[in-house]
Amino acid sequence: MSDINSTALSHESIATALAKALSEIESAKNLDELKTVRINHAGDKSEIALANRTIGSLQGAEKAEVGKRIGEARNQIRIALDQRTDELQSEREESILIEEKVDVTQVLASGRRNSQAVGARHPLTTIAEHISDVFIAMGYEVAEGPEAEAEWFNFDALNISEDHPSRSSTDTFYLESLDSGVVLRTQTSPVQMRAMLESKPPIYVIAPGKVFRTDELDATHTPVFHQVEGLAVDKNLTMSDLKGTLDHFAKSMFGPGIETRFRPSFFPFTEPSAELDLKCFVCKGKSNKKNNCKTCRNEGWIEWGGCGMVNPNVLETAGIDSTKFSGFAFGIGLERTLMFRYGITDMHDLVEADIRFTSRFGLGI
Amino acid sequence: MKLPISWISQFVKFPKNTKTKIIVDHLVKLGYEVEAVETFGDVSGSIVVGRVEKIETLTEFKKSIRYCKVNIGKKVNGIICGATNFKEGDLVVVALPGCVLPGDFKISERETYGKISQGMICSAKELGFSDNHEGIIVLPKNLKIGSSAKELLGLGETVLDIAVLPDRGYAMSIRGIGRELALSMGVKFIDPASQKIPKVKKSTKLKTKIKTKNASKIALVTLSNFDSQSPTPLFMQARLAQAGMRPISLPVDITNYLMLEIGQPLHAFDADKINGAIQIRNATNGELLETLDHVKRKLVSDDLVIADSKKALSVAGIMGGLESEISKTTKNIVIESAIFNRASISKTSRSHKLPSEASKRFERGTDPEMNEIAAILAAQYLSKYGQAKITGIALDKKPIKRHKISFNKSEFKRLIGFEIDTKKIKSIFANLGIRISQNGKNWNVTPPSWRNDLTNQADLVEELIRIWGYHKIPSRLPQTKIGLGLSASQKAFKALSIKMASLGSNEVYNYPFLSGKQIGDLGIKNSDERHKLVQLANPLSEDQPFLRTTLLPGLFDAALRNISRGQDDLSLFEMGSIYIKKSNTAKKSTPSLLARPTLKEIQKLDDLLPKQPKLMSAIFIGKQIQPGWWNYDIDYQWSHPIEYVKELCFDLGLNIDIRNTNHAPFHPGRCAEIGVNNKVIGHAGQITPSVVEKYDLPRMVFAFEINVDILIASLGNKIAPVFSSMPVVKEDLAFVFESEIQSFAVIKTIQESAGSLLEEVRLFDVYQGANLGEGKKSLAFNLRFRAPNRTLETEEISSMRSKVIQAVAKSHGGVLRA
Repeated sequence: MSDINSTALSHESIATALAKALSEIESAKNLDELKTVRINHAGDKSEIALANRTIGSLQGAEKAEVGKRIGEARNQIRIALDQRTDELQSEREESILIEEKVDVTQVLASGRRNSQAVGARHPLTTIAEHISDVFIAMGYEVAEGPEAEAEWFNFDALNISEDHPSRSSTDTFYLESLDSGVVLRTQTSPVQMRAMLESKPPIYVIAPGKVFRTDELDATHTPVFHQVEGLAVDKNLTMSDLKGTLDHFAKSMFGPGIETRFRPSFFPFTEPSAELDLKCFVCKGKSNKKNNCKTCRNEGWIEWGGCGMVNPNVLETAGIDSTKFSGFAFGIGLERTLMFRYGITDMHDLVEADIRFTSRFGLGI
Repeated sequence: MKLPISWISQFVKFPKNTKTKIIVDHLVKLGYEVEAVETFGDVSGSIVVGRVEKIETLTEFKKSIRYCKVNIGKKVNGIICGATNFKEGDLVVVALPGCVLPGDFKISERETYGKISQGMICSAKELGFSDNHEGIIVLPKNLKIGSSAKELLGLGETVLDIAVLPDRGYAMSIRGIGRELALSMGVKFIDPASQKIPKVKKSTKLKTKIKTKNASKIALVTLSNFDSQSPTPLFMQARLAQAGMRPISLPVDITNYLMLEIGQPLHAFDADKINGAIQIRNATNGELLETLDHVKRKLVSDDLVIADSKKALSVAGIMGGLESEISKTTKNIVIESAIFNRASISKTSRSHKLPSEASKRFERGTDPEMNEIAAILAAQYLSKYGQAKITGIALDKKPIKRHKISFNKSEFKRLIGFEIDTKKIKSIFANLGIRISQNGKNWNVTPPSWRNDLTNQADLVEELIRIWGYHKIPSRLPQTKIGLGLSASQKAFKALSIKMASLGSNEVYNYPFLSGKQIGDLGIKNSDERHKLVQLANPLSEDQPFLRTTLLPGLFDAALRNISRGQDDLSLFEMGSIYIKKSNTAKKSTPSLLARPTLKEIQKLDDLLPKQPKLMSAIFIGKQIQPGWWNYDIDYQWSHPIEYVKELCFDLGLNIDIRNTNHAPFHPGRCAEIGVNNKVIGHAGQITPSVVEKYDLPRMVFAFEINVDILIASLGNKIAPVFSSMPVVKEDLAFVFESEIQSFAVIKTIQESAGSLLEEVRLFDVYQGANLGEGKKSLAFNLRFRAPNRTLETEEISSMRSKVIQAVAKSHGGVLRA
């Protein structure tokens, strides 16, 4: 077979077909073009494939040699195609990513209420939980009591005399009639007595809750507000333990730098009694007539809550031997605490249910 | 109470140049809140004593104007003055040009009424001395002309305004505060009541008697020949004014002065208006008395009166009667000084809404040893400044029980946490007037007569630490017991609120007060529990006398408030108590305070209370999701509240059951009754449009209200699911039903008929259309089958499929759509 050089099986024509294929693969601009190139040069009707079909006309060593050359050419085309496919594919990925670019600031530009419904818990709820958490960490449990409460629990059992002004109908809400014996509790303190009647010392409870007094709503008063009551009854509890506990509490609410002080006070259900003051965290106690401080009115201190050692009369009413056990109790206003913590200046914001206020607080602290 | 520094300095020997700040700090330390540090009569410039030499009356003006030549010492100034209550030769107070009077009132030399006026002749009001503007101040004759009038009138005095705690009656006086201030500062104290008191012989004419259990002592001192023209000495007027009391007349000023100084309220009667013996008695019901404030008061038998043999003269311990008042012609005087029961005075003062300086002291408790002394001191002042003659004293008294306390000094350490030494304890007690008679380990302690607030060991411990200093209490943490954290129900309560907020709702706290109309507008049946309203005896507003039996009206109001402020799309929720009146007729009970109440007694107290279940309610209005570039928006619709309740319950490990029901204020056709473990927990759906219309809310308002107590009582344990990793087989089946068929009932039928290999079935499409025929609907369900341990066979699936189709046809008449 001397005309082999002039046929499709010739050395040159295979080399030409291969070069053409490689060049077209190289110049394919996208996967669609490459697909056409693949059909033309690696498909059943490609030059090389057609050449391969005629290989049967050759014999012996020549057949083997041509077969080898065709095989190599096909292999090179396949590798080139694979490579080019990879290249073009990653080029396409890149361009898609570029095409898919968005303006991420749209999300902020649309405000908080856009593609998601946004809710929030009331800060009164979260602060009560926060306080409970602090005390739970110290071993306390959360106690509860009814809001419509027996006058006996709200007053009598707390050593509040029958003629005490706080019992007046100008201070306390009575249910049904002024002598029904049922009031809307004016403090969370009745929970103290309930806790002492429900269990035996040692008692360590914290009781956040709603309380009521006949004050009209204004910037600093509301007829319905919230307190948190703490009570500990155990052997060997002293006013020093109370001070330590409240110092820890104050730190947890206002940061480690907060300074506190006890000031003598009077509550019928505690003796000795104290007022707990916080060093004004706005002016740090440094205000005066020239540098006016609205938060502490230049007193340097702000009143945070009342506390004291449980009056022995109260312990005895609960059936607890006041010579063996002692206890301390404290109460603070949650609205007041929130006002301090978040710079809330008007009570209306806390009671009016305006979602612009609440939503600022999100799910928690 | 207002405390002029110079007054208290008379009895507390402050070191020289003691700063006000030091005194304030000691007062605060002792437990007296200093509410303000004020300057009485804050004037600057020269205020001098002047003598009116000549008065020229100018008549050409509308009102009479006087041009006065006033000698101010070195020279004579011409001053224009409108007042006419002075004459030539009188001494007056002159503010010279350059003075600034209270209220930034600048005095300058100026031309007025055609004359040059060089200063101002001052009235009490202009100097900030009192609100008396009746005329200018005419001074006593014996003063030096040209000397400063500031000290005379007490102008520029520093006055501390102090809040006294309700248990400390003794501290409502210079005497009471002075004693503690001196003790705290470690300086000398002179008891103003310790001065020498003249002996007064028993009155021959006047008799007195206590005829009530609510008074324990009375002293009456009689005086004759009083010169009613006598002025109150200036120093006394000045101190009264500094303490915030208006000078009135010599006898009244003296009684007020002594009350401020030693704490015993006194009353001066015109003796000629009194008939027969003076008694303290209870008023008769309906007895009438016109008091000094010109109010005719109708008394009741709980009120105490000071009375003569015919009628009530004063409301005892609170306010005098008009008829027996000291007048400008009074010649003979009776000074009354008594000790009353605290509670009784407090009750009368409150019921007549008549708080007075006297009642404030009596209701806190006064020193029972002071009444006679104070009465005699008053008489002494009246004779000194009013030329009156003391004629006699009449007394009556009952024995007064003084508390004796057995005190063990270890009690201090037990309650406070550290020790102070015995010497210190004894010295504090002695300085407070607390007497100790040693009695072995326990001391016998007798508090002084003025400390009726000291009754037990804890009270004494408080006194010790108060004087020793609260700031010396160390700070340490107790060894508490180990707690269990939140209870299951507390955790559930918390979880509900977190879940609801994370679903996009805003928590609110509404007042629990409701009007009858608010309840009426809900359109609920009379038999409904929500009509069992608890009424307030003394509501803040007569419009809202009831306590809520549902949280919805509060949410409607809150929603309206938001909408009126431009927040049209919202979801609000509240968790809180409602109050349901019990039908029983439990009677008020008052267990003894001396021992633990029995369980039965506690039960009786609890029986009094209304039922107070905790509810959780929410309201949904407008859009859940706003339209925007994100290409979707969602309107709240009837299904959202149900969906929310379902999610809330699911989070607590509970599956809900629902059915259509009619429950006002919900839309009768769009209300789901929600059950958990066969108990109804609440309702959800749309609110009837006519109800929300009454609240001015938009027509489409959706809500739920559930009982959290019932929900929490059903809490179970969550158990981790077991699931298969075998392939799933999905089948969609659509049936045509009569339109009243409930889809959830069909779901249950499918679940029951398909067997245990049915993993899930859910409704995915609801269709009603003319092609189905009138009163028909199509429900399309998506079923997922899966076996725990193998791939399902085709035959199995078709068998389950046909079982489902048969069961749905049989139970609900459902026809499979081709």
